[in-house]
Amino acid sequence: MVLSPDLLAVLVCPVCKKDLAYDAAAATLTCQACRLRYKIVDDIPVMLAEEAEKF
Amino acid sequence: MGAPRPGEIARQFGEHARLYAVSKAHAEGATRHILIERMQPVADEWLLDVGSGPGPVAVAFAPYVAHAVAFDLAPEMLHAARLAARRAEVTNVAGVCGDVHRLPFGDRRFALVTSRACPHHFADIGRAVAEMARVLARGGRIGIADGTVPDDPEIDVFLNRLDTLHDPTTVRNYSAREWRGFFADAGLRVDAVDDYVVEIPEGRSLLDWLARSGASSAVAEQCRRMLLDAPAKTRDYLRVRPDGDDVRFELPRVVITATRTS
Repeated sequence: MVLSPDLLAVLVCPVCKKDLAYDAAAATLTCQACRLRYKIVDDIPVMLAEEAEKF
Repeated sequence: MGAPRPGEIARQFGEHARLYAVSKAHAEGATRHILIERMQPVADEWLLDVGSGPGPVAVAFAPYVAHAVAFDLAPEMLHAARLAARRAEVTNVAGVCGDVHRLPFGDRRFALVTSRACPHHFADIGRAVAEMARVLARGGRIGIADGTVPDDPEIDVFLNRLDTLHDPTTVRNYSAREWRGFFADAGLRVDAVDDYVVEIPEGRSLLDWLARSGASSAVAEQCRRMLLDAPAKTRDYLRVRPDGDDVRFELPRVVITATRTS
């Protein structure tokens, strides 16, 4: 399932509060500033920096 | 003992999500309706429910708002919230996993922010309230319903000790006076305060309360003795009464609502 545009519009990086890049196919939300990739698991964005992938 | 880490809280509540989902005080308690009455949601508004657990507040508000976001550290709780929304036939509840101390939402995005039966777990209450205030729009309302203590040091210590035994991830239940201070520090205008609200009229069952958090039988006995042997003023405040092998008592809630005026 794709995250709703309404929800995407309010989500930001929890660390720097900047906008995120959504990748529906990979089910991720990426913060370029923090270089963190947040996973979306079972349609639930997991917005915890300690569980995000660093890149 | 230090404040519990987010991982500890997520584990504690993730493991017991099903029990919280069927808990009478959590699922049916009166404070959900008090929050709706006080906060007066409007159909085009967005709600953020912080520490949503299995979604009783988000689902109760959902018919009155455009979107309700259930926000919790434990993904299991958000799955339970999704099921609760389906059961209630509401389609505007979304789940987001995260930590109140670092909310993943832009400034002023929500007209309504609630947190029920959760703030006593926040490691840094000032930071948590500041974050909830940050995401609140101008004119937006915040509503808290949580365990509380009176301005009596003995009852305060007793009640917080009892709650920490029941659930080691408890940080502190705050008095109404302390809540007024947190809101003032965050620049919020307090609209209404009730400092003794009962979730379930027949009182809490100690056995049910302890089973929900997975407490051991040794802890259960310690809590039972604490309640029955407490000083009279503490027993009166908590409305303690024996009930066969069980003990009925009350854990009063503070319900406080405020507005972001600037």
